[in-house]
Amino acid sequence: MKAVCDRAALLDAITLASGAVAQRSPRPQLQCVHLAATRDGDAGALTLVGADGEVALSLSTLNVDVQAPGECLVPADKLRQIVAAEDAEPTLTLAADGDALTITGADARFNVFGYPAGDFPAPPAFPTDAGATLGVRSDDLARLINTCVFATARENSRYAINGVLVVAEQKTVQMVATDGRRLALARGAALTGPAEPARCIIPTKALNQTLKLINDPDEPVRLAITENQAVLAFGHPEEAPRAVLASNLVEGAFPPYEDVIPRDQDKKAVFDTARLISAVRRAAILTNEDSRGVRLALTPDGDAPTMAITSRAAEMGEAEITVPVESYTGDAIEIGFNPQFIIDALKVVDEAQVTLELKAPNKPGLIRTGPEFTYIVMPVNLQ
Amino acid sequence: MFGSGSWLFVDVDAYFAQVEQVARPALAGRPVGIVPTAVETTCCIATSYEAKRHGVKTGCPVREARRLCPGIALVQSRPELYIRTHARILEAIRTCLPITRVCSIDEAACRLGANERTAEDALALARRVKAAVRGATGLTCSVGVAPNDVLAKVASEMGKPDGLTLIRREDLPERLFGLALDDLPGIGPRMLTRLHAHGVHDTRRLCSLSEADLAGIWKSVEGRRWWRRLRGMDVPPVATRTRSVGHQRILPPALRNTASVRAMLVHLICKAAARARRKGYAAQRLSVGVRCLDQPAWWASAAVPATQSTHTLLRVFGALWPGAELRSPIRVDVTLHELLPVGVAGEPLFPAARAERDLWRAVDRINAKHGRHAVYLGALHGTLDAVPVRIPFSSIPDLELPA
Repeated sequence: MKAVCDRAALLDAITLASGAVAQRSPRPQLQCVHLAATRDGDAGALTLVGADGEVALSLSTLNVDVQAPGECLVPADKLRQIVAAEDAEPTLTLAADGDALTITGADARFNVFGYPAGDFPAPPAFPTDAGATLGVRSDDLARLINTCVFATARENSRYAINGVLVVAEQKTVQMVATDGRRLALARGAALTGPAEPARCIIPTKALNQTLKLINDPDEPVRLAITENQAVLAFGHPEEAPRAVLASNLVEGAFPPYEDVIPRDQDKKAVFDTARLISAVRRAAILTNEDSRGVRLALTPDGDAPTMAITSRAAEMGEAEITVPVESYTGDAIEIGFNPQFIIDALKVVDEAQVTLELKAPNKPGLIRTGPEFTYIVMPVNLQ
Repeated sequence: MFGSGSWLFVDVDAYFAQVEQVARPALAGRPVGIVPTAVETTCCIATSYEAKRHGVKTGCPVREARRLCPGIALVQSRPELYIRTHARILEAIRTCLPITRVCSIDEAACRLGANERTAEDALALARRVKAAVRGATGLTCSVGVAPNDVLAKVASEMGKPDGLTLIRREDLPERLFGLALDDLPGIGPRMLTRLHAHGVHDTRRLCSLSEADLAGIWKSVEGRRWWRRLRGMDVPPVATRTRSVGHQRILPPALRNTASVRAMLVHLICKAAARARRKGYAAQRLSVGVRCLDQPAWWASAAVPATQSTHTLLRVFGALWPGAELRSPIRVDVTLHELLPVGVAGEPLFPAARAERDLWRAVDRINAKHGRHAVYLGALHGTLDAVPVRIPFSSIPDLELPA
């Protein structure tokens, strides 16, 4: 294999592929990136593949002068460090010799020892016979992921909620994530979708990787759900995909999320999103790990409803922030929330206004922005 | 007068050994060593004054104890007896005055009331405490009275056994000059090395240094606190909160196999979870470990969603457990870390999680009412009797919680 590559494009591709590479593995091959140089007439391409046993990513970088097609398998971290360090070079030449790869710049030559290319798993491919497929615009997919992935469980103890539930039916798609104390539900439109409802739980890592792969809001993305994998292909269906990401699905039963969406909230307050997040952030300054809650006190007060957000931390102090309420229906209420849970949701909201819906101090709160985003959060006891 | 912060400190003499001597009259007046298990490889965790006179001190290996004191009676510890006796001691002290802080299984500190701060009143009260403890348990104790809790503890050590020592503020700091630096509670080997490095080799020198000097040696505000304590000022304790709950066990020889280790870890997780619930905390991390004689220790740790549920913790443990055979396991450890007040953690969103939490709260209530093993996990059936109660030193096990 011998190929001359644009250094910046190569660095971007290696950085992305490295995201799928195992940080630690008893198989050193899984800490490598697989490079394959191909030539189709005058057009050359370099395809990089990273895999950690759970997620596999294949992406191609074009505008490569492939002088000799071939493949190699080299440690991802060293390759990325070298390509990043050669920042004065517009191009770099990659040449495989046996299991080693030589990277040559104007004044530098690196010979990196690797492994036989055949030791690497087969690159992911978009299946043609998947049980369910759907197509989504990149920007819609990014919004769906961004507005729920933050709510997944960080701990590895509850496998089913260590991922995002994807439910697709015809031309609608919804994503749900929960960590057991809050739940985010995002809805969106699909370009194409399965006739029968299809659902799967995709690991958080794969979805975060997906976000990094999105660079053109108009680009379509196809998602295929097989028995044990979700496979995403980036690019127009009639062309070879720019990137393919395959992920094992999270096993287990997702909790019955529809049952915990409150339907009888009788106190509804509309806020300017930016003002509300600013107020919660400021109130959170005077909280600590023992008083990790802010108190929201809503008063109808005729035509000028307000909300006071207060916080108190022993031996630290207390804060009170007043937030104007655009509109309010319902009686006065005081309720405590973990401020970070509120900030997490408001951070991903694009809309200028959000609605906070409440029932009672010991019942879940609900944040909405139209039908696209629903967020349920359990209160904390501030007594 | 002692000033505004006078303290009385009670320390039961050679506690474990004395309890055994009282419980078994045949041991009275004999040298006694308390051992955790009946094996020759262990060491004495406590000794009677009669044994100490032969040079057998806490930590002395059994073989060495037999060599130093051929007539020594080596007695296997009975933690439950010590815990129950501890409760009776506290009850006896409380008939005389309120206890401010239980410092360990055999120590309690009491702040004196406004009308108990003359030397005569304080000494009379101390004599009443000693008589009450003796009357209730048959045990002798040493009592120290001083202007602050640390000096009161120092005073209690000055007259052992069965002593009563008063340190007046006006006698300070000269009264302390006869003490070694490590007679002061809280000055251990590392601090001693640091003091020596700064040219401080005795208490007289320590007391001559300025507040700033001590802050420099301690490299913290703790040095300033020591400067104040040594002058008889009452230094309020630093507010702390529980950040972890842990249990450890040295395995008796019969349990030194993989299956028993797993059962023991499950048992200790149940116990730690019950303690966290009792204290009102939810755990956010579980760590487990096994120390072995013939292979490196096995340790594993995982974050958990803030939980009070024993089931959740056991599920995490199930994922952490290596499955491989452990060679010569000798000690097991379980710790719940990153404890969060349960109100701050918030209610679980899903009914199933709330039901699981409520189930364990109900189990705790049943066990509190009907005995600590009234309800337990089926997986522990047959193993409960094999789990020895941990020997209580500074933390006193709650006999309502699982053993």
